[in-house]
Amino acid sequence: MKRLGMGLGLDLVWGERIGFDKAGGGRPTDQVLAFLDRYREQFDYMFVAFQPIDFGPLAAERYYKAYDTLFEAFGSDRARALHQTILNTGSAERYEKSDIAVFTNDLIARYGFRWVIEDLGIWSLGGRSLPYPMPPVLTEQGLAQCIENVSEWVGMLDAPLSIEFPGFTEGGSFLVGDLDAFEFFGEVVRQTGALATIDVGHILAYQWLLGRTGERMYEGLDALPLNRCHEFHLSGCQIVNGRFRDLHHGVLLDEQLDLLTYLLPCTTNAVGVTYEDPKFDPQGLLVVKSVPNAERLFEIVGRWSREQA
Amino acid sequence: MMTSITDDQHTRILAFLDRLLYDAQVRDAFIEGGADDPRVELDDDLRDAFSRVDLHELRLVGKRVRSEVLGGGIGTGAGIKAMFEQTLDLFHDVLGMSVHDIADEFIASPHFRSFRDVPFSPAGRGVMVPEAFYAFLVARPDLCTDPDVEPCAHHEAATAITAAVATGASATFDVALPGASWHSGVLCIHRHYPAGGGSTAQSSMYLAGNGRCVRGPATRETFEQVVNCLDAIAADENPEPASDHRMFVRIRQWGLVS
Repeated sequence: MKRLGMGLGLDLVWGERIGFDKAGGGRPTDQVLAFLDRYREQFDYMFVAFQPIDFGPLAAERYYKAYDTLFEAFGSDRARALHQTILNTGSAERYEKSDIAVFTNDLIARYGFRWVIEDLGIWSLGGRSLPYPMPPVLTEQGLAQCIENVSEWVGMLDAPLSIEFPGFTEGGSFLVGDLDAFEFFGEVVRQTGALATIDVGHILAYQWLLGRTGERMYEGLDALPLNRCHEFHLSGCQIVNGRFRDLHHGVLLDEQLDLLTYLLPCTTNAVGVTYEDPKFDPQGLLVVKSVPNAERLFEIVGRWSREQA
Repeated sequence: MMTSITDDQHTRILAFLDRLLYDAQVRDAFIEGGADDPRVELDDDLRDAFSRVDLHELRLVGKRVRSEVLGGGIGTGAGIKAMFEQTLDLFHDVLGMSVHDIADEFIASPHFRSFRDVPFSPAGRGVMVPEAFYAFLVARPDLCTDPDVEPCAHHEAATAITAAVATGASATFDVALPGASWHSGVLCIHRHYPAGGGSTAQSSMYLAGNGRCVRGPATRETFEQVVNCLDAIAADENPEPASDHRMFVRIRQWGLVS
């Protein structure tokens, strides 16, 4: 796939200010539209993270009006992708997939999503959603189950699936099993043919959990499937009491940019770097605190894009 | 890669993970005494799998699960604190139980396992939180010593369930509340609440369908008229007699059927 450059990722929850309004069949809020109006030209592609409207039928047409307006505001002829949240790729159980596949493929058909992203996480257990997706069970059987899940999804979706290295220590997840998460993730990617998404904050959260802070944050990265890395994600993070938190509050840490700078030359197949969940005010302006490192991110990605052009 | 894990071990790992997430007593014991604490009853061959659990994170997970059950964020509605406000007040007044204590017991119970907001798991479809909470209460006579508790909880559960069904939640959840049935796509619940404690006897009807919900006092006879009319609509028949016809018009006015 051709290199795209800088991506925008938006997680738009229904009913929130940076989200979708339910009124009139659904539309992005004015705040979201104001942001897109100001910044859309700085991004080369975008993805939207799926958020269900409610517990009603899982039918793609219920989302058409909102997504039509969103992608039109970004630029209807521009590259876009879908971040799914209901594939449960890291599940340690065998979930029924057909209804979700039909739903996702209907969206792919309408919007021409170039790829679909999903965290390799356990989003629900025994049919009950978890507060935050947990990493998969890091055992051999957990690995086999993940490979089976992801392989099925790769075969069922009408767009390439890129699985994302899962989040750790989010105030809602912990490690079960004793396999190395980088090796585990690499093995799933290699065995399934899926693409890999590397969320830099998720990588750092795992490193911090293992005590690999400071210069040690570069340890063990060779086990990641960097040759299959399709995309990097960066969202606002914070180090709280020595713990790395992936807060999605828009403010990027220096460590994230340093690690991105380190990883970018190690990949040959990445198409883009996504600034995920920037935060902005009602006028659509990025929150002030997020601006310095957001600008650094744009510079890094711009340089990387030009190098390969 | 490392040690071999059998299918049986995997199943038991998931079962223990479930207990860590949802059983506050097991979680607290694990945090206090670790995997070796006899209170957690962790099989010897599973200890390695749980040797890297971050206890700080585990504590936060427990808090978040309880917070979401109490305050909304999981399933439909605003959480049991708002959905069962009167029932929880009764618990506090009569039994002196805190909302947190009740929530912890509910979340650890098999009734909470019948709640499932993702209908694609091997366990299949489940019920909503308010229905699971009501089932938890009625299965616990020690919690229902006050005669007002069960009727109050049923009323609040029926109210919450019909509100959710009106937003289309029956696409995800089953409804098995006592007295509930479906007629022409409309969820119909009727209950005669006997006099007890400080309350007077009352019959109530709860209806939900087509994006609407109608609730209020209604005799059993009125409720049966509603049900007959809905069945006639489903069968594409004109309801008889004249009184039923008036109910037919009223149901249309309520917007319960399109």
